[in-house]
Amino acid sequence: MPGIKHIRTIIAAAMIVLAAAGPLLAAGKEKTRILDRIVAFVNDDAILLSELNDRYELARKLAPDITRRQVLQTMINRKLLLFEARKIFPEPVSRDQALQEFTDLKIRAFIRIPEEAARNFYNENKKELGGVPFDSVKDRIERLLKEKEINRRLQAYLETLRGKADIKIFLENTPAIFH
Amino acid sequence: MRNARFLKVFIFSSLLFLLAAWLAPPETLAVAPANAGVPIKKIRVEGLYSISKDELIYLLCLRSANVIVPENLALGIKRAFKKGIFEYISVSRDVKDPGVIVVKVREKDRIKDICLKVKGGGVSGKFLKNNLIFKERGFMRYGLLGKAESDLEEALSMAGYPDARVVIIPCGAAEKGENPYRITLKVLVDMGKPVLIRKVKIVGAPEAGVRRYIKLRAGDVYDQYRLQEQINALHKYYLAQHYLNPSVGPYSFSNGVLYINVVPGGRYEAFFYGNHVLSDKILAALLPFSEAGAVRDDLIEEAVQKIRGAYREKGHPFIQVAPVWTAQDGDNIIKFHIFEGGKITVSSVSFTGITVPAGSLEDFLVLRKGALYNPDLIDTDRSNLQDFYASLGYLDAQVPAPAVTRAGPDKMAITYHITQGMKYVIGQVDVSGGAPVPAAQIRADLRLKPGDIYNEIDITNARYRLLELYNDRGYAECKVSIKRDFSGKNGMVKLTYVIEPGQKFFFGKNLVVGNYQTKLEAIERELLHKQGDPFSQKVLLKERQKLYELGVFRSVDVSELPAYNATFDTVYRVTESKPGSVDIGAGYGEYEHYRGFVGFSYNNLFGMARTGSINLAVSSIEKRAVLSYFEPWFLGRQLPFRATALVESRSQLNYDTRQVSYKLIRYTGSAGVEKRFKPYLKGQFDYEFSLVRTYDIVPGVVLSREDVGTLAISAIRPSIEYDTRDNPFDPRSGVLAGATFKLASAAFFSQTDFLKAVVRAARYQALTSSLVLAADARVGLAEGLDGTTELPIVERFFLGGRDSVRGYTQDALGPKAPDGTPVGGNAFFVANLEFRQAITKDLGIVPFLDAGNVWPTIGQIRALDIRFSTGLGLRFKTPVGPLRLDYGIKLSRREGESRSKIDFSIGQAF
Repeated sequence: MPGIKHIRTIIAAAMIVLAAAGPLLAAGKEKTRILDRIVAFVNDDAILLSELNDRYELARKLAPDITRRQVLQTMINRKLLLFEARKIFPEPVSRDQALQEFTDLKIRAFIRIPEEAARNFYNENKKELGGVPFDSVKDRIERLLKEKEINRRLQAYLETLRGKADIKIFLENTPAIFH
Repeated sequence: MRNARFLKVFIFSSLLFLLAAWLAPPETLAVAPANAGVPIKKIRVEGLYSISKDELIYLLCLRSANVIVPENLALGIKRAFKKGIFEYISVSRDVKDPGVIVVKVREKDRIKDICLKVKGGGVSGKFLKNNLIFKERGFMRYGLLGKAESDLEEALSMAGYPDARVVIIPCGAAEKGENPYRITLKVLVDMGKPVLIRKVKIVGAPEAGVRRYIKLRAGDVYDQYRLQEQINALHKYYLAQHYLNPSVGPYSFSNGVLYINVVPGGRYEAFFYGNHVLSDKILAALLPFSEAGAVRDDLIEEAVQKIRGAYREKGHPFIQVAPVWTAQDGDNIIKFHIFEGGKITVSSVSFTGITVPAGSLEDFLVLRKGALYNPDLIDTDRSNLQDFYASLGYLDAQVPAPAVTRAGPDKMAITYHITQGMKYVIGQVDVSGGAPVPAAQIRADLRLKPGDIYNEIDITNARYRLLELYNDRGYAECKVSIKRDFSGKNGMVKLTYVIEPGQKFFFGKNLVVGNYQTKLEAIERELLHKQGDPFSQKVLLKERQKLYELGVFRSVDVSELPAYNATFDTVYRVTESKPGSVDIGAGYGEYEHYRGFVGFSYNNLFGMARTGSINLAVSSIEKRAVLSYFEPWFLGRQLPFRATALVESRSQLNYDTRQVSYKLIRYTGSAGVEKRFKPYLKGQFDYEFSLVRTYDIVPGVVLSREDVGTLAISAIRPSIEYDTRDNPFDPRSGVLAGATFKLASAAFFSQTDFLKAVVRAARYQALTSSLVLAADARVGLAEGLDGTTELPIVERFFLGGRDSVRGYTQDALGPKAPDGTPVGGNAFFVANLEFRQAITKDLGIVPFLDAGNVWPTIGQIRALDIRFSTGLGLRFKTPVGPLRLDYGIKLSRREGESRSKIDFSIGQAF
């Protein structure tokens, strides 16, 4: 049955060509070009691709290795904090001021660095500190430890907020529109 | 072999496909240049179900033939997202045809229902649903699934099921053809074994008293919710028993034994001696010991002050209180020896140094002639006088403490020595920075002119009026300050209102959130502004009121989004109420005997705030069905339209013998529109067609040929109503007046011709905070036209009973047939007078006087025929109006008539 064999070869060749070329052709020929879209939402606030790109460009100037996802996470965190801050500092207090005062009130105000912790840090890093006396670097160490503690508590607080918030991210892929 | 080769090719091509698919870029993270200058030709929307395409496009600010501006598009997507139903929106441009814009949305999933599957028992479905963060008809938040499961497990653990495990499964889309964004939430609960109490041990107090409140026993599930309730009840009991600082709990649970610490602490007991004016109970309520949780010297002093204050309020200024405190083993006994002193009233109040009439000053005092003398109120009176003088322009007036002298054994005389000082008058009123509002308009709203008394309240009110004037014209950030110059001669003050209008703002787009059943059109047509109008908070307030009045929302919240380009988008956040309702009732009446009704209504038909209802009523003498329809906007205009269809079958009985006087079957259809000219003035115009069949008539009841057989009545009915009542269900002030006319004529194919008119006027006036005077008068006149002498029986006037002349049987006044059956008449008059006195918040009594009668024709009206009744009623307030019980006594009783009658009803008589 050489005829059948021939037909099978043709079909197989056609399948290879179609399989390889089809998606690539489709990929090269996108049907639509995005003008703007939602990349994430936090409760009833949407974050748009255009906003993310603007922030990403700005962030890259300061940290060239930063990723879009990292920038988006920062934007989400900011929205979560702002939502809480606005409960205490409503408009017309500016966003930045509300955030600053809120973190001061909720986190910074509760942090005290005991001298013992500063001294421990000094002892552990005596070499790196160049052997200067403790008293001359005490304030700097306290500031550093305080900032570290603030960051730790802020992360923990944000985790709590995330647990209570309705958050969804559509960074790379659009969701299935139809079930 | 060949097949194997074919299979290899197939597998290879499949892998190639997957590789190619992987290589193909995902949806881009780059934003395409939007302003290619290509105007929008066509908009394609995908994935939209819950709102119209037009609404989405409106929110996105996309318009055919317009070029897309990226900033506006971003605002539009954010605005559309605020609608609350989307989780994803993208807007893209077709590559082949850039004029085609593709909008893709994914709506949030909504929970259609929650399906509980519980393995094991112990808690109710209500408990599970209450402790689930997802609610039916709410939006699904997939990110909170884990939290929902752990929260519910924690709640079950608290309820005594620590091994309970919860799995929540959102189940796919609804059935084919339905909105795909509806899901069912399956909540699978495995309760596990409950923790049982083996023993309850009360630590620190005798068990006997405690166990009346702590009811958990051995064998019960260790339910901490129940335990906490019982602990709270025990704590409350201890406080009521004057324990000073009772401690119930904490509790612990170990090896099946529940330990509860109970320390009631010390008690106090208070005794009062020598008190007659105030009871022990009133005085005990003033003591601060329970609240403070202690008995101390300072608290005893506080108690003495409170007791003295209470006596002074009763006119006993010379009250003396001597406390004696003894304490033993934590228990306290406090004895208050009270010397009440005499009851003192104010004999006179006089003034020196005044030029205003003393009487007008005394009106502002609490301690005036005849009042109980309470020295604690003197400072209040001084402050009132100072304010009064300030309102007259005497800004420097001095009102020192008055001289109080004994004017008799139980009288005090009060004398105020006042220094009035200079009277200040407005000498000049200037305005600066008023543009762009015309100066004449500003002056008109100021309502202040040279020569006016300098009154700080008037001056501040003028500032508020100016702010409102500018705010209503879009100047939302307007500032108005007042400069006062007192350097003028003879108390002349120069006022300058400095106006800084700020930026002018405009209305932007409207965003309606929460209208899942109500159509956008039904909401938007109620709004009073258009896009581009000057922004005004006052308009928003009125719109909120209008949306409430639609009757389909439980709450309406109106706010604006942050401004952009001097524009505010407005958000109308509504919560829809349940549109359907069922009313069922049953009762027994003297005349009707048993009676019952059932009514179904739906007030948001087709999502357009239209109301449809059907009411069925049945009694031993009547069957009635009424179908109604209400449309708030008729023919696209705000012209409320009503249509009603009625079928009725009724037997009229002789009140004494209960023999049937006649029977009647009526079919009526009516339709009409209502026009509101002012908030308090409305007119109505209806057309009504009735087919009435009267049969089995006792001969004496027949007055005309129209009373026999089937009769078609076709009539128009114009009416007008003036209503300024503060509350239609239970008014305290206002007037209700109106006139209704009914014209039946052959011109409208009526088989009978007549003209009827009913005029009424009612007035409500609160005489005191608990007493309302209500008076009402109604007159009805009817005349047959074109040969009709008598009106058909269904159109005649009847009177007597619960809503007209109480004390008489329903409809029993006026002309009667030889067998005693009322046959109605062509004229009536009725007047009612009530004194509505509230006894408590919900209960009231109403003495009343009624008068009225019915006459066969207008010419036969005789004032001497008017029948009177009086009586007393009880009212009990309910959400649908007061429940009413009236006992009426006939004042002009005739032979054979009963003396009195009791009526029961809902709603005021008028």
